[in-house]
Order: sequence, then C-alpha cells, then structure tokens
Amino acid sequence: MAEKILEVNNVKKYFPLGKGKLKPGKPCVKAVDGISLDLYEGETLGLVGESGCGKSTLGRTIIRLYEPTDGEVLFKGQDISKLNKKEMRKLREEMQFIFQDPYSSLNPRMNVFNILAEPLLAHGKFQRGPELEAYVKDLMEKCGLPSYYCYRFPHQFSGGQRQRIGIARSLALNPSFIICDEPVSALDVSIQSQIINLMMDMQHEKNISYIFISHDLSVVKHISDRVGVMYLGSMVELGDKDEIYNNPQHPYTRALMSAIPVPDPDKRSEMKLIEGEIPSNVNTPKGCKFHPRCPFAKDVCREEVPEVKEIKPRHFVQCHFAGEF
Amino acid sequence: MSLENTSEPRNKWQQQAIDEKKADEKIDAVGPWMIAWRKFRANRVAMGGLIIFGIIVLLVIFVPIFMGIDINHYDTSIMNQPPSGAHLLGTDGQGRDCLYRLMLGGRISILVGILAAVLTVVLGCLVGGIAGFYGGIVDNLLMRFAEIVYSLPFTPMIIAVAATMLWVPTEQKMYTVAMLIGVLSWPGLARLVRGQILTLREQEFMQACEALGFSDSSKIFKHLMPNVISLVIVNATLQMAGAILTEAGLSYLGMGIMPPQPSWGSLMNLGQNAQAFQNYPWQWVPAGIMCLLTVVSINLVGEGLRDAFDPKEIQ
Repeated sequence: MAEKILEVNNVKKYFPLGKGKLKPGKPCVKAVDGISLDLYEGETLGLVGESGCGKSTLGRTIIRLYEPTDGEVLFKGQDISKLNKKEMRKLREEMQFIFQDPYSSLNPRMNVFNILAEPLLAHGKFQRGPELEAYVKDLMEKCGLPSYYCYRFPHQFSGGQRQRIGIARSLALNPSFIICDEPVSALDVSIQSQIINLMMDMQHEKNISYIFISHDLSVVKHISDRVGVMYLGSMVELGDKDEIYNNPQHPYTRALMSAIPVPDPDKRSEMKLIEGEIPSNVNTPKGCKFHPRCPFAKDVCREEVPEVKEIKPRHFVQCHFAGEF
Repeated sequence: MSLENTSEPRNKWQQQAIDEKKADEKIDAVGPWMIAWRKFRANRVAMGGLIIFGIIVLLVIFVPIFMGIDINHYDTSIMNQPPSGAHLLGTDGQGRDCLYRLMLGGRISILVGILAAVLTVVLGCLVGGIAGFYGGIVDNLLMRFAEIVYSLPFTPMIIAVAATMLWVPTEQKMYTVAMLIGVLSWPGLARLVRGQILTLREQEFMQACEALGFSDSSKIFKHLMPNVISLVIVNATLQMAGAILTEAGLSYLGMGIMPPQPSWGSLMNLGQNAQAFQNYPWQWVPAGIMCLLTVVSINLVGEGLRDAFDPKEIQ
C-alpha cells in the first residue's frame, strides 16, 4: 500500500455574500461544505461534478490559495492551514497547481525561459547560469516543447502549447502532489489526449499524486485511479474508478454516469436524466442536498442529512439508501 | 525514426518537414515591447511627434552650449533689436539675445515637465500600487486621501501655493513648481494603477505566483508592474505635456519661474507689455510657438504610445 500523502478532513469554504467578513447568521455561499478525502502516493483522484459544485474551490482550498473556513488539510501529516506565510512558501515546492485557462495563467510579459526559471530561482534551487538553462531546456523537451522556443512569449503559442508551458512550470520544482483544475477543458479533443498522456507520463516518471478536477467523465475515467463525485459542495460518492463507473450507488452518480455520451445510438434510450436545476448553495436544501431532484426521495431524505457509509472497502456513499438500489 | 536521425531526406515530404522545422526555428522571439515598438514605428504621426520633440530637446541642450554666453550677460546698447545676423531672434529689453534665452527657457520648461511627470509617476504608482495590491482598509484609506487631493481645485490651488512660496530663490523656483504640479496631479494616475492592479490580481497567473510561493516583492515587481508599466508610460507622457503647459501658464501669470531665469511662460509674459506686444513680437512669439510645438509633439507621442500598447491589438 502506498503511503498517504494528503488527508482532507471536513474542509469547509464559505464565501460571504455582499461586503464585509464572514459572520454567523450572515448569508454566504457554501462552496465547499464539509469534504473529507485522502490521497496516496502516485495515485490520481478524479473529482467530477457539474459546474458550480465547488470542485475548483476545493482544489484551491486544499493548496491554500483560499483560506479554509473550517477543517484541516494534512499534507504529509502536517496541517497546512496552520502554517505561517514563510513555512507555507517552503511547502509550495511540494504542491503545485495546473490552471484551467492557458491564456490567463501565463504572464504575457515574460518569456518561456523566465516563466520556467522563476520558481527555481525563487526557491533557491539554481543560480542564474548554464546549469539553470540546461535544466529549463530539458524540462521543455520533456513536456513536448522544442527548447528553441525558450525565448518566445506566451502570445506566440497555441493553447495546447501554453498548457504544456503551464504543466512544465508546475513540474519545475519536482512536486510530489499536483492539483489539476480542468487542465484540458479549454483545449480541443486531439490536444486533450496529448496533454493527458503527458501528465500520465510525468506521473509514472516522478511518482506524482494528482487531484484531477474535471467535468469530463471520459477524461476522468482515463486518468484516475479513484473518483470522487461532488454535488453542491459535498462529496456524494467516492471510490475506485471501476466501482464508480460500473457500480454507482448514489442516484446522482447514476444519473451522471448515464449522461456519458454513448457512441451507439441504440443504447441512448437508457439515459436517465435528472430534472431541475442545481439548487442555490446559499440556501442549501434541508436534509440530503440532492432530495429536490432525486427520483427516489423519501421523507427521511427531506429531514435528515445522510451519513457517509462505506458500502464496500474504499467505496463511500452519502445516501440514506446506499446499497439498496 | 525521428527527423533528427535521418541525415538525408528520402522523399519530398521529409524534406518539407525539415524545411518547416528550420523555418520554425528561425521565428524570432517577439516580446510585448517589440510589438509595441513596431506598432509605434509604423505610426507616422507619432513618429513625427517623436522626431519634432527630439529636435527640440537637442536644440535646447546644444544651442546654449554652442553660443557660450553668460546667463547674466546683458548689453544696454542693443536693446529691443529686431532679428539680424548677429542675433537671430533679436534682443530683448535688456539687450539679451532672445534665441539664447528661448533655448535656456526651453531647458527649464522641459525639465519642469519631466520632473513633474516623474514625481506624478512615483507617487501615483506607489499609492495606487499599494492600494490595489493590499486592498481592504489600506486601499480605502489611500483612495480616500487621493480623492481629497483630487478634489482640490487645481489652478486656484497651485496659484495660491505658488504665491506663498515667493521666498524661494529664483534659481530653485523651477523645482518648487515641478513639485507642486507633481504633488497635485498624482491621484489620477493612482486610480488608474489601482484599477489595473485590481484586474490583474484576479488573473490566473497571479494565483500561479501564489501557488509557486513567490514573495510579495517578486509578485509586485516582476508580475504586476511590467503589466502596468505601459499604462504608466502613456500617462506620464501626457502628464509631462500637461505639466509644461501648467508651468507656462503659471510663469505667464508671474507665479512660476521668475526673471532673470527664463522659461517659455515667462518669456510669453513679455507680451503682456503693450509696447512689446505691438512692436517687439520676436521677444515673445517664438516662446509661444516652441511651447505649442513641444506640447503637441509630446501629445502625439503619447497617443501613439497608447495605440502601440493597446492590448486588444497585440500580435
């Protein structure tokens, strides 16, 4: 069994509505509402869910781009939400982030070399000189960018190439853990597969753990070892990839899985669409958050928040009737 | 079998691929500054402005050196003479060479413009940058202070303050004028810089800076400032033209640069005298023309820079 690298315990992130700070009783957006998960060395955990369910916020809260409202994030056994600025900065070598939009995630006024060299210089890994240059060029080649591109500027590249630069930047410090926030959703399909393969190659080479956030279920199926399904700031189901895709237990997961496009037109009639819109995460529904849209909702669902049950080893479901469908 | 390994291309497709790669390697790295410069160079009006301004600056620097006259030299035997071979722009009421004084005045006027613009930029960037970067209460306090300064009526204020500073020796008068203009005109730039930084702060590359663990100073100087600097340069250029005009206006009213120190404004002040106005136009018309040319050319350059830096037209 690989070692546990990250443990997230009941993390919450609320954003205050309107001006001022978060106070009890003040209306707020519950973007992440009590999520727990863990991540092992060298594995990929996929996070899926419809837009607005808090996937990106969770990712950003885990690496503390946002301060968590509550809960703890243990990275290699250390609670990072209690670290001060300096300690946090040191730890950032270990944990990295790949952004969704390759157009705004690169500083337009820096060339590729400076973009890639800056983290190395900032963390004192290298001094300016030929060694740094060799390292950066090697990194570029590894990420599929010819090294003679290194003095060009971001606007001279295509979206896929920019995303490669973004990936190269996050790999520069040799992190052991990377959060990928929809790294391929801004790219077209042929480029998506190249980027995904690049990320998987890097994972095998350097034994990196990924949290892979996406709304594209096929991509997540391809890259993940385990998958978590999020709905309205909560983790409704978490388990091994095959369990989630072949034996979904939560009604939401089942609906989600049936919505994966099927190439065979004869099989499309099996789609079970869920009705209605995702409720507001300001006034979240009482009881189970999914009950207004759940075809199986009973009285208990409207009153009580379901417990997280482990119906099989490593397969967690947050539903009153888990295992009964 | 990669392309690098094949020493000799076997068919025309391979040859084509190799050619394409070679062509790709030759593409230059074109940075944002390069793009801006290319666009600026293609803008004839702006280039015209730059050339005119360059000529004026060169004249103002080198003509007085070339003429080699003492600044306090006067000769009452050649008062109010019209332009001639010996005195290209004639002489003034104390028999001083008008061309020499025009060029000296230009030095002072342009220097006041530059100093005022520099002061505006320093104060505006500092206040706007700190307010935008730190936000919250710091932002609130600094911006309210900026609004107070902004709401002071510019012209009456500057005249009143200049009038109370009559004790300043005439040689140092230009510095006080520049300081006054700078101190009163930074809030506009501070607002611009703050607004720009607020939008930049939400860009993903700034979050990437946080995720990569960069220090605040690196975030400000390597990531924010280079993205604000184009705006600042444009603003500083236009500010400089404005400061030259303000100085001219003040000196014309007798509140700015004082004789015997010349400036374009105080030279134009000679035109207030009815006799000089009617009979000795060479004493004050050239100063007006120089002032006009300078301000127009700086404004053309500023407009050209604004177009050249326009991010919508990048590439």
